[in-house]
Amino acid sequence: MSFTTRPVFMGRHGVVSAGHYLAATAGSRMFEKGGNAIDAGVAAGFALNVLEPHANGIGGEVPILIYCAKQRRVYAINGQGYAPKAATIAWFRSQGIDIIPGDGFLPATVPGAFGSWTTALQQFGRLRLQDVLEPAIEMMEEGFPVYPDLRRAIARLQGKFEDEWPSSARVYLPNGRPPEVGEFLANPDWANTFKATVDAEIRSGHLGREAAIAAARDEFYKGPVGEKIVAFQRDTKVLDASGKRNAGLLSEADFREYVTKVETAVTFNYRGYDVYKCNTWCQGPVFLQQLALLEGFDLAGLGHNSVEYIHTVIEASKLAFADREQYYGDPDFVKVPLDRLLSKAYASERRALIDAGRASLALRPGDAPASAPAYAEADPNVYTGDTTHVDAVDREGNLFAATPSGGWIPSSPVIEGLGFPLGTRGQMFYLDPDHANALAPRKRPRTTLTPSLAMKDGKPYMAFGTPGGDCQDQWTLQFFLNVIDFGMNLQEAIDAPSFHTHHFPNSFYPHNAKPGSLTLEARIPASVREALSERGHEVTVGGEWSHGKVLAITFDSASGLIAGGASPRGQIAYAMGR
Amino acid sequence: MRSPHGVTASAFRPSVMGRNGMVTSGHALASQAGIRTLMGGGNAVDAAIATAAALGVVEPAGSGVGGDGFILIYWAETGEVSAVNATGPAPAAATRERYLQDGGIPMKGIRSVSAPGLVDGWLLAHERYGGLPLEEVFRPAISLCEDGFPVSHLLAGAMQGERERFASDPHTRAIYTNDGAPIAAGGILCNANLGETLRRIARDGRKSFYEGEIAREIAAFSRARDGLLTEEDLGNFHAHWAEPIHVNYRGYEVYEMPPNSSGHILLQELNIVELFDLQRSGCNTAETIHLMVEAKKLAFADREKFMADPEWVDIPLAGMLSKEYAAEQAERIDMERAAYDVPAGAPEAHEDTTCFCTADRAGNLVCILQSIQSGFGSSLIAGETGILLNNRMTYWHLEEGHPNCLMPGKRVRHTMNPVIITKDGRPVLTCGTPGADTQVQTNLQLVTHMLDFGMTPQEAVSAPRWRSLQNPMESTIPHVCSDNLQLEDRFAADVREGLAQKGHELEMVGDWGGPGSAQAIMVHPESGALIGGSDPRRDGYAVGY
Repeated sequence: MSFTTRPVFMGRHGVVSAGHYLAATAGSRMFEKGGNAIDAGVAAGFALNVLEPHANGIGGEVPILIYCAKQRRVYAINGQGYAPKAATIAWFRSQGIDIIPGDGFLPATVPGAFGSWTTALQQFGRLRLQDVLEPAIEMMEEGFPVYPDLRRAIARLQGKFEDEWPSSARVYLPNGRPPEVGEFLANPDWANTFKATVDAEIRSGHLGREAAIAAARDEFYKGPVGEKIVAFQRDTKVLDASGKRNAGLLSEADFREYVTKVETAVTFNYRGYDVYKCNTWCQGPVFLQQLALLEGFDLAGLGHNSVEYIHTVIEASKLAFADREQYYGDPDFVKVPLDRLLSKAYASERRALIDAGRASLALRPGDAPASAPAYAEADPNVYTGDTTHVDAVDREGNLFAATPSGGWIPSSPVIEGLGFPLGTRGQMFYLDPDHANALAPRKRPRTTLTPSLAMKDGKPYMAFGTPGGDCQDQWTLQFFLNVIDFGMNLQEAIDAPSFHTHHFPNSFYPHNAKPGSLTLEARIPASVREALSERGHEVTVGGEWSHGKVLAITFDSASGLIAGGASPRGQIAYAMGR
Repeated sequence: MRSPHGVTASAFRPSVMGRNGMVTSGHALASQAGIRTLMGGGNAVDAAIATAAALGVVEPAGSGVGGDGFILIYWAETGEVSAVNATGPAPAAATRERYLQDGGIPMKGIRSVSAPGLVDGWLLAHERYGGLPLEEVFRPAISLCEDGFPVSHLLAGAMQGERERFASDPHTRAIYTNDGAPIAAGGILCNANLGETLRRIARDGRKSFYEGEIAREIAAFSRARDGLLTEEDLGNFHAHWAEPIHVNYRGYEVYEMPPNSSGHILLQELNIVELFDLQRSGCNTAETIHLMVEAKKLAFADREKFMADPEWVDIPLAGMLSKEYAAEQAERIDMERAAYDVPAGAPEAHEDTTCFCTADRAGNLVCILQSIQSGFGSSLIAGETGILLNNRMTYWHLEEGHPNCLMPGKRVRHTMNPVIITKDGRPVLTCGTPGADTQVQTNLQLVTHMLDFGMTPQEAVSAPRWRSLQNPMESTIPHVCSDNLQLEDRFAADVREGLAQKGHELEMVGDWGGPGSAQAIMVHPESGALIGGSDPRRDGYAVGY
């Protein structure tokens, strides 16, 4: 075994691996209260909302995958909110907008996160909302210690907050300046928002746990929280990337009629492992399409991170992501030929398109003609988001994987009196009506957020995920192959150098693309990088430890061992439990 | 992710920050035991003892109730730093003559065992400062014993190395092997007997361990194996409160354990280093490392000449710790040339110990070093007690005239040394590391990294580490070693070249091959946030909330 940056975290009762160390501890506290993996995951998730406000928040969204040990079934919680009823292509066109901006109120959807967390808790957890919100409320009331990444993020936003967004400045520049590392940052408004939902739960306590949680959810979507959100974005105009000041399009009816859906997950069997992802309202199935393509190669035989291996994986990624661009969208609105896309026959047909000696510069979706994606740079003035992730596994074999994102402070002002901003996920829609991911009222934008679960022989095996936008299902793919094809232990598989491409149109505003691009962590040797350049890849060298924040937990149903790993990249993720 | 502090590789982990409590220890499950105790209303002392007991279960190679320890406590309410010496003496029958007749002190087996002092130390500290009943404090450790815990990759490797000894004795075979086969990483290890021992200690306190059924069982086991440790040795032993020693280093008050701990070495090193301008010579440069290595050599020479159990020998401690003496000693350092005394000998034995720190919201700090000496101590479990006995006898000298020469009832010279640092009476930092004679060297690096160069705890414990070997001053028999300077490969080439030019014989030990498993907790000077760091070289883990 090679040196790993930290030990594999091994326990028997329950383990949480989360994007922030205090969230991991918050989750593991739930095990001590008698909670299961879902309780722990939701508590850690709420904590992540408040601890990483530059990466996610309760105004954002969170897809969740759950393996319920009792029912022996995988469920996908659709935690992506829909577009306002007023958000039509025609309206945007009438405003002279060609691309939905990545900031301000226009890209806001109904915030899915609160509905998603509480639905997971209600249907699969054991504890009350009061229990799982306790750590997050404590942190908001008393403050939590500001860490280097958060300080940097707030410092970058200082000018914008001071000039444009006084409500954000009040929370995040508490003494008129960005808080220092180690200073405590509180957010009493947000604490009160959460406490109001807990009060609603308590008031309905006599109806039983599940009904009481539903009452808390109603407080958010059908009560004062939703009303305040709607009023704020209706009455406030903020400058966005369109160059104009715009108010938002969300109505109280959008909130009232919003329902969190619990769905069947999409699955594919790879070398004996059943991998589960959320449906095409997110990019999740692209993970499975990559597996289907790579199944036909002896990856271990190519050698880990060898020239041949990296080339093969990247070329498979390009094909799968071309299909994402062509087909994926909210399945309530578009017909996605998913059975065909995940079939072995289709995969073997597509596999033949991989040229072992040459990097493809074309976008080649299944049935449509190939095209060359136009090279485009991102808008440096628009924040294209970060995300976080949490996994939890308990001794009964329940698995929980959630990827919270959106509702981050760089893109939208803090809602007066509530303590958090709205999200901007609507920027992932297209205004081309023929696109699978075209904007439509009450449609979900095809999000990048993509948790993963894996089962082996019908037994729970692994929960994993990462932040990283379009790279999420590339970095988790490599991690998964490191474990399955290369036999690495969890921490080795996470530590191993990663690579990714931005060959295809970006999910974020302004949907920029870098055809043929290949970014490699600097630990991948120069000889490999040069050989990849020779094959036509547009190689960029990243930092040594700069790409990906994969988190993962495995469960061994035979021994009961629960093992967790967390990425050293960014020095913030952590596994905890016992 | 490059550190601004001259560290040439990433720290890989966060400096974990919390406001309610922090535990950094050599094992994640032990840190979690401490955090659960804090969450359950315990203070830093309760958490430290919970962590201490859990480490004896999940990190059995390093420490446990069959060994010794030192405890250093900063108590916020009074601003006092207090110390517990929990090191046991040589058995009454352990005469120098007897061991000479036997051909020396054995590395393993029953004759390597001295009286275990740790339990009484825990109890003393708990009696004065603990807030929760012992049953609660030991609960996480008992549950780890009874439910079992997953074996880490590090422990699996250590048990693999010890498998023949473990398989050949019924008591160790039953617990540390899978019916004679090694337990692999991820395998579950139970030690219900140790759980029962901890239950008895929680119920009956000192009496059960030193005078009651546990004492009888240990003594009977020793007798049956022709050992020297008796019920009287156990009954006569008492851990005691000791007066911590301290020096002022650039305005910070640095507290250490007095002899028979080697803590004075760190203070002597700091006194010398303080006379030099580290800001000018820079962090981890050849010049700074050379200075620290030379200061270390001077302090070790003093230990060799003067230090042993203060009840048996006179130690000129006040002089050794004085600033005047440090100035004289500093004159002896040639900044261009490494000093050598004695030619190289055999490499030293592998040492294994553990260090951990706890802190609570009130600002109380605890640092404990505990050990059963080398990996798995004597490698013997005392009958049905589940207790791995130490092999601390292997720290004795048998040369007459050496201050640390074996005498019955005398406590051996220890390397373990916990560190607590305050400023103007306020808590600043606690840190420490296992690693025998490397402890006071690693601590010197940790303290200067944090106080002089502004590193965070995680950066400090992750920074590339050096280790100076000085023949014949190794603590473990046969006390001889090579005379060189070990460097991790992460030190820059110009550092290596600079040190080689000054005459240091260098040995490169790999990127992370340096000694120790350092732990540290810093208290944020304004907010009071607790900031923890834990060494990536072993299984260490910092947990806060």
